[in-house]
Amino acid sequence: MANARAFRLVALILALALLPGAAFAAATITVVNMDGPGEGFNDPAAVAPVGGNPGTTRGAQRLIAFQHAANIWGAVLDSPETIYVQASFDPLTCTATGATLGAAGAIQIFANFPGREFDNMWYHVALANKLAGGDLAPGPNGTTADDIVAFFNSNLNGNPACLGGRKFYLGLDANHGIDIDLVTVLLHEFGHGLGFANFVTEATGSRPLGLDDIFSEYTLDVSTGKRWNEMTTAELVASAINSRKVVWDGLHVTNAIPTVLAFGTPLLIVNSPAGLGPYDVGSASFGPPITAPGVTGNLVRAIDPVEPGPPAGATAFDGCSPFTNAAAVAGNIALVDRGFCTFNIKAQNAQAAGAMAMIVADNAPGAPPAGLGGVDPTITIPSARVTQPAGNALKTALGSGMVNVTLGVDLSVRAGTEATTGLAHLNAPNPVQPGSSISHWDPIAFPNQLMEPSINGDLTHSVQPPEDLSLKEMTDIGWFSDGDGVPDGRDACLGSTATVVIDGCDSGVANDVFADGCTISDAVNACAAGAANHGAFVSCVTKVTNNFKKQGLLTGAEKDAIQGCAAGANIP
Amino acid sequence: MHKRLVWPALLGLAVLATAQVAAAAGPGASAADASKNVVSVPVGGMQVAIDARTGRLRQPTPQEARALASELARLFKPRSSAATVFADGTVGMVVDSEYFNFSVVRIGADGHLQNTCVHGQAAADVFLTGGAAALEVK
Repeated sequence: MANARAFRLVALILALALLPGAAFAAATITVVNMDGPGEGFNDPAAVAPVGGNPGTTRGAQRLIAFQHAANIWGAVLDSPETIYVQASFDPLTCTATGATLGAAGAIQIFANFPGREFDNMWYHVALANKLAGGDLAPGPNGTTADDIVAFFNSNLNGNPACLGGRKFYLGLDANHGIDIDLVTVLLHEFGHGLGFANFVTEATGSRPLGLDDIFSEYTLDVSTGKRWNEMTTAELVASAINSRKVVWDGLHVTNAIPTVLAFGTPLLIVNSPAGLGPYDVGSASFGPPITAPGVTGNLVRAIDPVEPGPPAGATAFDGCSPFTNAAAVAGNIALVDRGFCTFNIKAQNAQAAGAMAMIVADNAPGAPPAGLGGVDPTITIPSARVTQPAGNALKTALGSGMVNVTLGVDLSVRAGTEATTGLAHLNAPNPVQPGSSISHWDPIAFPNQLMEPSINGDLTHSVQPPEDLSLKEMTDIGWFSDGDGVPDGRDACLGSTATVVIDGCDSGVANDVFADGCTISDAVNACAAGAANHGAFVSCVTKVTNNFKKQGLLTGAEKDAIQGCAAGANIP
Repeated sequence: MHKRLVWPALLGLAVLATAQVAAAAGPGASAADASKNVVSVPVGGMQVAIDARTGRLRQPTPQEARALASELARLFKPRSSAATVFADGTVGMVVDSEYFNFSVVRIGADGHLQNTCVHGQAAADVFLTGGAAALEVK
């Protein structure tokens, strides 16, 4: 546990924050086959091996795919307790027009168990078991004593009568084509079951038994400066829809962002008049992507004839017919209102008028601005949507004079991070989308992340940097807890030992823990990492420990013991 | 099994009034036993649709979506939350379906696969019946 004297060395030890985290072992994740003879995982139908899945029966391939997803998580987590996934393939409804594909998630939650990092806070059972060092819910497999449940539709097997023959892709190589990659879906859902989820009902702010949860401990609203565990129910409801202002402030995710997320956030920047924007934009699925430095021009509100209908609802600003002010639009950026016709029709008219780009002002509340859907290979200009308030502000400004904007990419902000803090955005759409809100990364993250609300087709099966932030979220919530009294999400140095040990030499000196979670051993390790030779290492340790003694953190005998171990160590 | 009700001081009478509490002797002894009638906890659903005439993926009709949502309702019946409190203060609870993560998939009007992940039956139904956010074309 942290002690008083140790906290005085915070500034000195902060430099150790870049040290690598502690080595971890692994976790065993076992798939509990809930299927009966001849069904699901026991389906005897012969199939050819696919995508690295060597199974020769359909049932065997399903089980291998399940276990493969479980093994990916198991290889990177650390727990002495086996994690049991209660799994089955069941013949759920599947017709030519629709099907239920499947399901997965956690079974139990625990609070106030031995080994926890926080009191009065819910943890997913698998993590609670790891921290407790024992099974909090023992019992036979196939009951709620298991940790995660997962079941999927056995009818999705290529039968033409079921979704026209589309099926779960059971390969292990993510080469799913038009089919549904089962391993990716499982990794995502297992992620929720392992701890990537809160237990707040975002629409009401309610929590089970009124207790906080470990995910909410690192959920921060940058507008209020409050974490979700510090909020009232009313504040939770408001924060859940505070788009692009809710972030994850766990240290390990934050430290990993530079290696995972790329620079470049699409924005509409208002060059003049001053005081407007920048505005978030939703990009289009048609036309060229928004790039840097982007397209700069004067904003011109497009005018077109009001279509007589039916249907009713056309306006002179919806961009649904050829523009009557095409000459004014030419060479500039067209502003049109959402509504009446599809986005690509608006883009066609803007392009025909000679616009360099098109901005669609939403006609309904909601944030962040959604993308513009549609397919149109004829569109060659970039398009984007802004929110209704942003659109109204731009229209008001146009009423007072010229508005010059740039539709481009802010290369100073990593995609999926908050501009002022650099922290990773959590998904906070307005209106709230229960479950999708908060317990996922913001979909703006790029490269795409496993724990975004939508599972994107370009995902690999990685759960860790440099591809993915999921494992770092697991690190923050405690999957690698060293029990040093510093919560892992604020612990720069995981893996503390009770005494200072150097290359097998136990000095017997208490390995004090500082406020940032680093220890005397971490300081020694930093010396080892930076030493060109043994002499330099010993010199560094001597300097550091002498400094500790001067500050009253070590006695002379303790200093000598550490230095003696350093001198005898085979480092480097 | 000897049972003794032990609540941490922080959980006051208000909590006791709103939760179904089963007491047990110690963690690991009966968290599972307390709710062993609940054998499985279904937590997610996905749905796609395909046009039987053209063979192309498409968004389900409202009737189809309602029918499939009804199946989800059958599979994912909400259950009342019940907490188990152990002698050492450990509190355990079988997760109510309100907190489950549903992965749901549909086909948008542009023919592309749309999917999202939501909590609970109600949110899944909203998505499956076309009411949740997706990439709008209009």
